[in-house]
Amino acid sequence: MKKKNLSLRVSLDGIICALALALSFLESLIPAAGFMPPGAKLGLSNIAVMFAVLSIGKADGFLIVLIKSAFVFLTKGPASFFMSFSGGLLSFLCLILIIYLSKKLKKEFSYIGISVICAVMHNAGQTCAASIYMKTNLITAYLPLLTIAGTGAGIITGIVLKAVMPSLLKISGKLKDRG
Amino acid sequence: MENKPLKLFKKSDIIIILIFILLAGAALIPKYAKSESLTAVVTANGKEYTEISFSELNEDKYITVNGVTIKASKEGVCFEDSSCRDKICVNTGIINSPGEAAVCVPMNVAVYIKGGGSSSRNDDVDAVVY
Repeated sequence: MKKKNLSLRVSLDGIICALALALSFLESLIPAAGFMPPGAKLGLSNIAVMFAVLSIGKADGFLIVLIKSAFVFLTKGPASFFMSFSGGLLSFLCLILIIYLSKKLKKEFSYIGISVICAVMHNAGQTCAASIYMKTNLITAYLPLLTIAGTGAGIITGIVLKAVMPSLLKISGKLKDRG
Repeated sequence: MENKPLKLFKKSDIIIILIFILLAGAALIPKYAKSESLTAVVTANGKEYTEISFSELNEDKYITVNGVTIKASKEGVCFEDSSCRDKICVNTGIINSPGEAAVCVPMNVAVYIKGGGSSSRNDDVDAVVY
């Protein structure tokens, strides 16, 4: 996006940030299913991050990861912030890598493929952060289960992302016309 | 803005999904290698706090550290109560097979199960015939 559209970009980022926070609250209302490993979540707010990185810009996506983690810091404390941010960061870096690879190889990834990789990497980042924070590697016992859960969650968020993409693009398109 | 919509699903996604599930499955296999004498290790603030051989316990035992209560019984070990917010540790429930773990990140307390001496027992000679 060009520099003259800066105000548009700021407002769009604001909307997507609000969306990410609202989605993570909505997600906390869903009761944990018994068969899921403890702490596993759908990761709906990843939809907002993926949309931002794919359609607005990489920096905007990173901003949303930061704000999401900052919100976690305010509501749940530093330990949760550390876990949220490292998960978000690893997932964001993988998304950047995917975009780079798809440009380099001239091959397109699909929504499900992207979101499965992001979800699993988010879990991996969080598990590593928890291991470092507690100075034990016992949390790696969680990782296999979380990987399976993350794959399932990634498929779901991929389908949702595909479904909401047209309307999200319409909103950002309208804002662009007015700006 | 690049607003080119991507495809929902591609055949190569199956490979990505399979890789993740196979990796997870491979990591889960050692969990099912059972051993008889089981020890739970409690760590607090990153250091080892105590150890309990719970499979030989006759009555329930409670350990309190950093504001969490851990209950050990014959069936296994669980977080009985915690003063943390999310209660993920309590919701983990009873753990009792080697490699399993229950963690309370906010309170910095963790419990994991160590397989007690199963490898040395397996190395023993079953029978000697002359």
